[in-house]
Amino acid sequence: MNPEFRRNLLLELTLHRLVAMPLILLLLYGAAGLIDYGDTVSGIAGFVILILLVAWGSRLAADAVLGEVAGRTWDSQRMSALGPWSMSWGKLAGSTIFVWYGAALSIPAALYGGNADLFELLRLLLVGLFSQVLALFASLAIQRLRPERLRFHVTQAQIVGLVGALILWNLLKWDYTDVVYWYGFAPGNVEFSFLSGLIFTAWCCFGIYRLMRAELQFRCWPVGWAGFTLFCAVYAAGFMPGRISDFVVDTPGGEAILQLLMAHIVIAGLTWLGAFAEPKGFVRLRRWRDTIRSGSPREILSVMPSWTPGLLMALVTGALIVVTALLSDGRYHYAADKYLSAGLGSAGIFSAALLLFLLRDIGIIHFLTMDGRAKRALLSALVYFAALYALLPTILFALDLEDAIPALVPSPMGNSVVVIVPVLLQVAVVGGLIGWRWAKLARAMQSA
Amino acid sequence: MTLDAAAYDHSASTAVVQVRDLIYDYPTARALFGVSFDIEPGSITALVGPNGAGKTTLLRCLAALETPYSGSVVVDGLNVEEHPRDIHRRLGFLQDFFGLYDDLSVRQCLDHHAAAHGVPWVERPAAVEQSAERLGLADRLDQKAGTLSRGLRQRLAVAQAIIHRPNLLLLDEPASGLDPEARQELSRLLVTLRDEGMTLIVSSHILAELEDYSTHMMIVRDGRVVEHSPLDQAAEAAPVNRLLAVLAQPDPRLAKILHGIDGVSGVMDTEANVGFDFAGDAEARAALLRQLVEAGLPVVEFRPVRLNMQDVYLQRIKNGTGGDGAI
Repeated sequence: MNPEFRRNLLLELTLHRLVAMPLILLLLYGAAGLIDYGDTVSGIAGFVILILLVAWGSRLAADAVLGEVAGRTWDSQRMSALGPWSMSWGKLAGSTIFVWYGAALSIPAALYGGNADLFELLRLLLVGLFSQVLALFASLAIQRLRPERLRFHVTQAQIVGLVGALILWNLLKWDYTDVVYWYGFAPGNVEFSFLSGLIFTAWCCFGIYRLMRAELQFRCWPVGWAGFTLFCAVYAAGFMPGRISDFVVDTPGGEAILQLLMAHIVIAGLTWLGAFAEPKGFVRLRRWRDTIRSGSPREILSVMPSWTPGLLMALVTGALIVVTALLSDGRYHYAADKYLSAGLGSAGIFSAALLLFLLRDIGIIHFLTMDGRAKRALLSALVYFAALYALLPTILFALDLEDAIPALVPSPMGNSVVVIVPVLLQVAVVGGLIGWRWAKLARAMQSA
Repeated sequence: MTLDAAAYDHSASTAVVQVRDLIYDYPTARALFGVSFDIEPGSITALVGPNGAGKTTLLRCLAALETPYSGSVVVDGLNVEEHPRDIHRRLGFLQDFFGLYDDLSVRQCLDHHAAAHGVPWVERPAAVEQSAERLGLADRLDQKAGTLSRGLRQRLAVAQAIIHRPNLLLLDEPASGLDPEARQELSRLLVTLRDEGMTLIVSSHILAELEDYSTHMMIVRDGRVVEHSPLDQAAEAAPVNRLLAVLAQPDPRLAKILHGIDGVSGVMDTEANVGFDFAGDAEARAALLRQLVEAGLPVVEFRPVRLNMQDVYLQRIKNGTGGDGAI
């Protein structure tokens, strides 16, 4: 048996707990049955499963690694001979085994009564599993990002799990009779969303495996996040043109541009997230630079920041958008929607602007986090982004300077000078700041 | 001798540990400056140095817990960066600050560590019993780890580190929290492990204990290895000799004369029996003896005294740089 799973079994499934859980559930469902036979028992059981798997389970999963870090046993785990996959499933299944035990005991009660719904039960179980998987993934990401600060890490990771569960819960709640338009197919909403939920849960498991590999000191190429980004881009592009298909159906290249734009936006967003959430700093950047100068491709890939493949993908989708727009001769005349018309007309400019904003933001993140002494650098970055993307545009709007807003927010409106030149200048300024801090840190390192 | 990491053929060496040009950077400071050394099989190396010298960082790099900025670490012929899991199978590491699973019993803790390090299940019960026996925990196997005293927790941590019979054992302050008797038992255990073929690197500030069982000494200072040699050679190669001058009868002039001579330091005066450090070769020592005799002192004995580990360590640290950082 997996030693990590076995260790968790010893800790989680004590005799006392094994006896107490069914007794308490029996009392609960017994009381509910006495009050109102049937549906009440089923409803309460569903609620109990939700609380056990989502609220408690996400907490246990978030604590699986972070609890070991706090207890100073994590290094000893990292030094075991267990592989990343064994460690991952041992921790995930082992740390949450008790809540799954409670959920399993509650299933008969949930299916009891006239209105029992098997899909409703499957939805509960999937949402519960997703919240736990996401919480463990987030805990590993947080641990790698800020290993020196442990306060509220478990709560932060659990919140990520709970938010993910809430989103999935709402996605899975779609109407049985509705259909989804995805790459020309029209599968049933329930089946499509459930399958999507399963696939995203599998991606999360893969993410845990990749982060665990890094924790266990395996060389890691940035293929995990790049693969997920590519999947999400392809997945999201399938929903285009969706409800607005009526407007673009007769337009040469219109549908393709919409799909590419969606993919481009998703890639930019996930690349931004990857740059924000991965470990950073002067030492890592310098090591990357040095391996580019002298290392083998294998070494270069193993120290490459995760945002680089995303940036390349954004570059490719941006180029494809420009080429498609040029080939389609810019013939976009949709009287029904002037914004969509204008947006499609300047899709190339928008995609270029988005790429430059992404580059600027990655630069800002690295500038703020390069100096290892800087406390709360990521929080500072978030504050700056809030000011750049929300506060300043609001002020410009209030001052009737709407035309200047594309200088701060990627926008499909406006001409190329207003959209591209300001962000190009911002990229140059951020690049200069990084160069200045790099030189300063290099001098400090030499004199240390 | 300086060894280049890229050019060096690790397979040609018999050393258990081969470190080449190891550089480790923290975000704001360099912790290790191109460290290179070999550790011979069956040796016990005392890793010593001031606080903040880089000892723990070095041990963590050897244990594949940290990724160095550059350089290479090879353990048992395997590159640490390439084969971290294989290394962990062959290596035991007791950290200075460690944790235990408080809710597990001593037996469960040991069994888990054995399983996690790939000990086959049929061999695990015997491995648990033997480790517990060696660390004096045989009568506490069913006690929860959380109820153990600090010293017993330390023993359990050592037992966990050796349960899979690693080829290389790294110990960071292993005697911390142990009473004198347990420390002596630990010293005996380390020698036994070495006799069984294990190679050990022990970091500690208690130099007198290290001297009991160490075969080599490695001094790390400011992120550099300033001395790494067999203990006896380290004493002989020390830049300053400790000399003992014995007089036929007490004479207060001896100490006064010695204080006035260049190269003499650390004079410990008992009038008839004076120990002191002297920086000089054999000829300088002869000249010094001549000077004492000509001053009319009744010298009946004048000889070098073997330096202990603490003396060598303090001399190296006082002198700043030692060797070239490699052997």
